[in-house]
Amino acid sequence: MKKKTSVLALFLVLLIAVTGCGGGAGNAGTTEAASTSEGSGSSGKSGDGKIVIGFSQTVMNHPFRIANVDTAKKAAADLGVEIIVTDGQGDANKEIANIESLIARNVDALIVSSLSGNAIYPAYKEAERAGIPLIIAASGVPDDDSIPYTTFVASDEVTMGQQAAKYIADKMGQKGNLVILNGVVESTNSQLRTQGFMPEIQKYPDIKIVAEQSGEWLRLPAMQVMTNILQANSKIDFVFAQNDEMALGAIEAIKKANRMSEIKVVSMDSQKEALEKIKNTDELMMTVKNEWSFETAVKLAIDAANGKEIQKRVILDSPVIDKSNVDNFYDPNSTF
Amino acid sequence: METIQKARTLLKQEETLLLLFIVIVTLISPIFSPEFFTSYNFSNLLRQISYPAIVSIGMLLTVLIGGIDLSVGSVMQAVSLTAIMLVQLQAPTGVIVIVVLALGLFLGLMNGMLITFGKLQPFIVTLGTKVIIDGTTLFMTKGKGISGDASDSFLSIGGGYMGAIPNPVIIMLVLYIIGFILLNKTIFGRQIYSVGSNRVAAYNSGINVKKVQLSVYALSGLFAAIAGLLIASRTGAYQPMSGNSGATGMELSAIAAVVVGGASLSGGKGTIWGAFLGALLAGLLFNLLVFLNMNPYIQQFILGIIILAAVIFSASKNRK
Repeated sequence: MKKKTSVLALFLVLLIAVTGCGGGAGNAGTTEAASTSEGSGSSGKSGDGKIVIGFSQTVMNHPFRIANVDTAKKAAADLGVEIIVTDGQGDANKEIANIESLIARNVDALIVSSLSGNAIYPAYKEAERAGIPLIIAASGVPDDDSIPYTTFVASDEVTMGQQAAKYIADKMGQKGNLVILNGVVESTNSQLRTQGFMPEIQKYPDIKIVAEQSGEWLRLPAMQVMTNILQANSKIDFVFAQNDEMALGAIEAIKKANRMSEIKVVSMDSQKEALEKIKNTDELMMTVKNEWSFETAVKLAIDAANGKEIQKRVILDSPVIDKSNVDNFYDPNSTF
Repeated sequence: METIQKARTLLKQEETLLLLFIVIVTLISPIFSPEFFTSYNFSNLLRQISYPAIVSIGMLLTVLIGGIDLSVGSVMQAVSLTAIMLVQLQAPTGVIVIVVLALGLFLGLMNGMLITFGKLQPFIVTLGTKVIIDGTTLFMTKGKGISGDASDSFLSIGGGYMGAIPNPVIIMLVLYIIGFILLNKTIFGRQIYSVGSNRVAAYNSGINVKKVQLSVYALSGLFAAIAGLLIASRTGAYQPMSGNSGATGMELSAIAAVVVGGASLSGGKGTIWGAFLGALLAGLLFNLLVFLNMNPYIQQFILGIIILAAVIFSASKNRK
């Protein structure tokens, strides 16, 4: 008997311990808003009048996705609203279950970042039925008109590609030899970035694309493919990588070949390591900002919760970042 | 005196303690979040647990005969994919249901035949079939999700309601009643327990052990297929899962449910009632954590602790 009671007690202690530190158990310092309202049984806007936002994140094991969550939490704390974050673990059914729970929790607005394609739509419909505004952020936008959502907020990948092309053409003096490192060929982001980049760069007949290969978004494959390209081409002026990881790999390959002085590297995504390279070395020339911060999404969610009219599509700025303005973007504490 | 005695035996069972724990958790939850106690949330919670709970019935059967079925999540995936492919071909709903349930039975039966006639370990066989099925579904879809223009009758299987209760919940309850009768009121049920407790004795007493084993794995495939069909018809789309998450993690949810519910992985011990409570507890915690605004990473930690606690409790009882 005694043992059973102690096991039961262990369960209870565990539960109480866990509920006691709920919300605050996140990143200390960034979830104050979440933890202060904890335990007061805040329900939506009732009680202390605080807005509660639900954020269903698709996965939480990738730096970009973690940065989404951290910035959302920080924005919520700064703006004095509570935010509840759930992790879909890459599974459409978990995501749906999470969104249902958030609806049941009666949140004032929902932010959803999903990679589940059509499978997530029943949850979107359920949010509409419950009358909860839906902000789709950094994920696919429904192509079906019958799917309800309040607003869609993300960077425009095509524009990002155009900007990179313009920058490169300008710095090359509209002529020279260019190497392109694409992402995973079948990925939507890679296709959209190419769709923006290629027509723009083809306006300059004197810019010759001497190699176009896939670096699979990753550092090591990019380094290997760049090594081969370097051996095959004695004259390269510029390398354009579709993300920073691949640019960092390409730089390693170029350094090994001792050709860093003749080749300029340009990329996209603006992750911290790339910004450090731009700031402290001459190895990476420029990267295009890919907005990983969820501050705008949180602000839109608050506006929607307050019943304000908001735009159906919000395109985030994606400026080019090079030595001239890197200090405005570099944050040593950023997670991405 | 007799009632006290009865109450004592009852209290010694994992199932009772589990139920007690669930009741306590449910009762104290509204203190933290009043919205927890709403009919919307309860129907939502029951629907969320219906898929793993249904799979757990089949898992319980395999565990009861001392086996295991690691392929259930993959069977669900294969079934979802087949259902949506048939939707794209505009097959009638009745045909889709029959085809996918047959597919589940067939895949389960394959497991059973390999284990029985190949005299192989269930763990390795079902791990192998799991990987084969995963590879096949990924190959067929090239890793991309598919969706079709599903008919309303198809979507209503998993997405519809009977009164205020979601269909998957009704189906789950019916299957549990069937499972209860099967295990407790039929000869087949008694045979399952005998095979699990002592295979040799079961064989010597004239039980067709091979037949029991084949039926159990076929049924496990069938229950997984029902869950897969419900998910496909809920979403009207098929989404391949990468890595170890998703329906491919269903085997772990189901094993956890039956073990937390008091079943022994060495066979012969466990109840259907416990499997249900195990699935309910996992779903309840998962749901509750949203209401408590808890860090998502902690959810898995807590579930792990509960599984371990259940096993420790069960082991300490058996040593007495």
